[in-house]
Amino acid sequence: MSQLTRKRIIQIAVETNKGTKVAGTLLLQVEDLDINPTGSYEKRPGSGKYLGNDLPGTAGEQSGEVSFTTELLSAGSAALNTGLVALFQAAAFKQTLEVYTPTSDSSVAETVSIDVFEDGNKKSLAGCAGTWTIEGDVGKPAKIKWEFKGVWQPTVAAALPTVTLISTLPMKMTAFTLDGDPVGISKYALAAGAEVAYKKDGVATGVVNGIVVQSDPELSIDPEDQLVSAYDFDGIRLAGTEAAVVMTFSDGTYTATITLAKVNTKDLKGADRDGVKTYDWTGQVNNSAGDDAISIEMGAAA
Amino acid sequence: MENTKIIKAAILKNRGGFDNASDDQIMTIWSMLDSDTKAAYLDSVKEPKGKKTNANSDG
Repeated sequence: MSQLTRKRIIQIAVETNKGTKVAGTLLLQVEDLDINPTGSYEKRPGSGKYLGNDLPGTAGEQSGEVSFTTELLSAGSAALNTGLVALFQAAAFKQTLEVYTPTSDSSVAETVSIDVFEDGNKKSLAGCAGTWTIEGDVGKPAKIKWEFKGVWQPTVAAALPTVTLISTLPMKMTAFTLDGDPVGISKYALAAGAEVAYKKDGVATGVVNGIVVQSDPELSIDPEDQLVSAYDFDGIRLAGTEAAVVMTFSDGTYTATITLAKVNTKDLKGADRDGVKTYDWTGQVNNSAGDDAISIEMGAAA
Repeated sequence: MENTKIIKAAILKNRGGFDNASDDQIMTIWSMLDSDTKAAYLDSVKEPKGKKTNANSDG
């Protein structure tokens, strides 16, 4: 029997105890799904009488990584899709009603178990923590790229589970302002920039769960160049001036508003978009007053 | 040396995006400008000589 790559399902669940595997219950509809073990291979010395390997090596720590891309979806209400809520929580974001902001408190950040069913087999990770990048071209659905690290579970046989299709429409960008003004972008990428380490302990797997230990959020856009008198991109870079960025997304009924209170220019390179002068602009996203570098707020469309 | 208030007004009039800049950031960009540009910026915020602020121009 050939296993078909099209036939794969990913389900996740927030863990009650970090690193203790639970069955995935929340369906994610994804593309570019990739799950692999990342643990080391430990060679063994053998007797030393002969060249070559006398003994098989053994697997080292049982770490693994999974990456995939989702759409930005509401829950069919002024709330975020429940699967995305779990993913944001495992990326060290905390939920306050329908506002999602980073947390520096590792006891608040969650971990998720992730099950990937691959046409007859199931690959899983427990204790996953990760990071995300929301990106897209204007006029097209926004995509969120997710990358998680966790504890690899042995592959087992498992049939594709029964699922309920998520038919909520994807969100796309409806407004972007830098310092209060639209600046003519055609694409965007906001990376949470979370750095994930493994929490370790004296257990057979070696690793217990992933943990976000630092973040360096970054925004990349391609704004149109402007006269210095209108918006002085280069002077603002030189002076280190911070500006607010507001990104609004909508599915026609519900909205997601991402607010970056303070962004300052990291990199500015001249570029061309179909004959229009633009910049490849990269900004560092800063805290304004604590854990507020990024705010994602769900709401109803005006 | 020109005072910070005048320099800030000159920068804000001639360069966009500095509305929320600190005085230090304004002075950073000011210090990078050449003397001709500084002079032109200061001229742009100078009140015209002989301007009668309370005069009725309708005659």
